Amino acid sequence: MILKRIVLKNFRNYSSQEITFNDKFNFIYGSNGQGKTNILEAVSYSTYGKSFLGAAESDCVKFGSNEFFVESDFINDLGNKDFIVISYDKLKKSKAVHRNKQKVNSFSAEVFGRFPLVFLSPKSLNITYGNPSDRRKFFDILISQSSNLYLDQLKELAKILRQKSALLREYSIHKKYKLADLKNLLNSYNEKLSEFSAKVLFKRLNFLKEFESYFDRNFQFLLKQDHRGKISYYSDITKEVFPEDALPEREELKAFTEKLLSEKYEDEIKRAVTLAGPQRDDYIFKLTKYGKDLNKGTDTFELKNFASQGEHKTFLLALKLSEYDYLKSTKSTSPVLLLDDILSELDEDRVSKIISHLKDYGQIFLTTTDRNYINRLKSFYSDSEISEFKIEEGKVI
Amino acid sequence: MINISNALDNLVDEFSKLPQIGRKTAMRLAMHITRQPKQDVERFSRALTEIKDRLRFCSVCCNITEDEVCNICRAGSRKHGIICVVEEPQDVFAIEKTNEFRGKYHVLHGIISPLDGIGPNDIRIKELLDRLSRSGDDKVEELILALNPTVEGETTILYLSKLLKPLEIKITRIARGIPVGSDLEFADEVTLAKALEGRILI
Repeated sequence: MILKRIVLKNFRNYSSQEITFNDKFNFIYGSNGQGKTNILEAVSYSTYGKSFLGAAESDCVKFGSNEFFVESDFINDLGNKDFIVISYDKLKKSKAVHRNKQKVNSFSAEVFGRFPLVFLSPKSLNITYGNPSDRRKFFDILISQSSNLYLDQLKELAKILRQKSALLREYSIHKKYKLADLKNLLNSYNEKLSEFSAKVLFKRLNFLKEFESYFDRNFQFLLKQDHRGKISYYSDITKEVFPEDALPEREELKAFTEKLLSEKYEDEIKRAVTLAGPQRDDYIFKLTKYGKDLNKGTDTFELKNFASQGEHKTFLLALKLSEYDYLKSTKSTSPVLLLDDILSELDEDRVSKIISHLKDYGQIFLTTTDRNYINRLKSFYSDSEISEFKIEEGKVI
Repeated sequence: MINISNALDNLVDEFSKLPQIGRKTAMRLAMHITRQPKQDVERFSRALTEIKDRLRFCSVCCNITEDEVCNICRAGSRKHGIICVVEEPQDVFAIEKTNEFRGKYHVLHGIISPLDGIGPNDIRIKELLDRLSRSGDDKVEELILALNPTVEGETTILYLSKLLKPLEIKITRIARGIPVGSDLEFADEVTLAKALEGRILI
């Protein structure tokens, strides 16, 4: 899949800018604060419908105007064009999406996941350094891109959880419900919660099993020593699950969740919070080092607690490359790769390992402050395969 | 901006309180009214007040009606034994249009949603319970829960089924899934998955 052209209107610091991209490599450079990342952010709007930086829509509207437009032309592998327009009106607080000039009613069903995207920036390090929610978000977006059904299940789960929390809160603060009513309602929510928790868990565990082989391969590629990276899943419902384990069936997961929810029942009412479910789970990243001395055996530790910065970066890169490979195989098209300012953060030898393999990837967007870097890329690409864009104060020069 | 007329502003304000009407449309409607003959406007305003004076809730099914008991509840031709529970009066119109349902209705006027502060006591569940317990000779045999397949609808269905269990009435819910007249291949995967889940034995 190729992003051929993008038009930004009143988006961030751009008033009106049309950019036609190279099918292969797009080298975007300029000083800090000129608007390099804003272009990538606009790309994320037309694929995810959201900013990958987690920015609010209203923050993306240019100062002094009320509405932004992002228009993008995608071309799929068969040569078919898709024209996506995203607009946001700050006053009405409403976002509208058009696909090929038709209004899109459900972004998640009609656009999300259609144009797979892998995004890597210094901020991505939150995946290994950050909270469980950062990890869940990374994997949730990845799984959702290949399964609309999963996205829908996540949304339903979130809705049930919001209703349940509101119920518990209303009861504890305003005593709005009689105890019998509360219990009946709580049971109803818990029943739904078990159903959807099981669906989400089932999907996450099965995904991890599939993802592992991609991850293993990429980790080996980045670090050909005696290191292995490993991902497992932790939930109060299942305890720690490893990808090589025999996975429980959906019905079992539902029964486990029901059991846990009934154990926490009184506690939940007392503390007025939901205490169990996939919204509290975590993906656990581990590193195993094989000692050079065979007798010494191996040493396995959790990335979160004991890894060096370099190990974090390697792990992240392996995750991102695996994300790319996974999407490429499930969507049967090459995702667009967005590399935002990674040259400054990631170490030289790690980056050069990727750079030398860039040819294996499809369309790439790279932002940097270092213009000279293009010379290194030119040894891998012919002149027609690489375009450079200089960004200055919200304009391509 | 210079204020042209307080009366006009007032009317625009009132129009813009209506659902789906923004300021611009409200202005257009108000301007239209100013151009109408006086007797037309009077007829319009009478229609508005009349609806509040004449409409009330049916004492049996809580649907809107002009009488103490609504036409459907009074109709002798309809089965007493089956009650179809819906969220809003417009759902009654929708089901009536099918000409398939010959039972009676119960309108809840809302759905349980703690997020919006709506609990079981804020919708007409108590009226339904009263109705089921005092039905006398015409014992209710089946309750059809025709609520929307949203999280709120689904939990209201679960809540009602738990609440009504002791009454030992047959409780059913309407099916959800593939729309009639469409092809499987065109259904989105979410709908299709729900249809698979709700498959029935033949």
